[in-house]
Amino acid sequence: MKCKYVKELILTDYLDEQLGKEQKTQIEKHLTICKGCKEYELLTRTAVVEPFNNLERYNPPEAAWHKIREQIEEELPLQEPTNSFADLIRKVKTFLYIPKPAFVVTTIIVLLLVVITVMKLQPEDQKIVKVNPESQIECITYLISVFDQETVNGNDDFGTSIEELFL
Amino acid sequence: MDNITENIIIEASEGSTEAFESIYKAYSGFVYNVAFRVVNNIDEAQEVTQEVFLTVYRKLKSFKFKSSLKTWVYRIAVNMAIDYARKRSKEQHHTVLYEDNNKLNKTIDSAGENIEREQQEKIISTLLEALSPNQRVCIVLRSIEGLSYQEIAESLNININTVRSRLKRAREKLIVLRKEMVKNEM
Repeated sequence: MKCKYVKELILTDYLDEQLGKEQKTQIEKHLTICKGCKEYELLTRTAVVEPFNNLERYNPPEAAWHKIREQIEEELPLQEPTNSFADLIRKVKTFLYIPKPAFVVTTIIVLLLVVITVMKLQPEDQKIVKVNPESQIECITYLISVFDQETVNGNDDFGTSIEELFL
Repeated sequence: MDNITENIIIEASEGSTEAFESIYKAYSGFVYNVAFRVVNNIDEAQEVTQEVFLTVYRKLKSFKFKSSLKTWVYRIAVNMAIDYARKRSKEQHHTVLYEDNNKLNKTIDSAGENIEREQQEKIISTLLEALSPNQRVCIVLRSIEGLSYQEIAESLNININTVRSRLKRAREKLIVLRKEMVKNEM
């Protein structure tokens, strides 16, 4: 590991404990063998990281909340009529709101239902196909016999004006 | 801090002062402390806190639950604190130090710890004052408030690597300043 890279990490991720285990171990290994980097780590830690740790925390004065409350209560009556339409839209949106995972699940369920329905319908169609051959045979036999009769009689025209024109 | 339910947010956005007070109680500590460290002035920290919560109240109706309320409030707070700090640095060169901030609402008040704490506060105040508002807010969020890099990036709406580079530059600057401070003390 190069010292420049190690120093950059010391200034950021290493001292802020944002490194993964593996990278942290690599840095620590480097610090045991590199005196310059070890000194830099110590300087950074004591000079610019530790002074900020455990600083006293302050509470906002009570007056801050009172002022905010006063301001809110002044604004409140003004807000209600102007936002009634927005309220309505928001309520409708909340009512119709579907989170994304739920939408995906619903889509999958609908698709599955469609596939199952199609698969259930298929055998009925096949029955219709199975019934057809007999009537088809009857129909074809009838047509052949009619065709044969017409051929025997030589009556193969239909007597239309177009035929007369061309024949 | 994160026990603000969706119902509380909706009630507050519909005008319930009690619900809004719960939001204020949950986040005012963070907002006030960040504002104080970034603007480095106790009166302005109070002003920023008030402005932040009034903005939160006014915009609560447009809150879309895409991020957590915490992140949303943090974002408003840090942006407002940065704006205050920028405005002030344009208006005048800031010289407010810890002595001016004697109206602080302290949580601990032991006499023995006072001197040491005052010294520490002076150092912090001087160090933070040397940074740009953008660098300062990164140091405050990381080193004082303990936010992760990801949380800082979300609060500032910037890339995580920008957080890294701001922290790096800020600390490099602080190291130089600390060396000078130590020399002057000697």
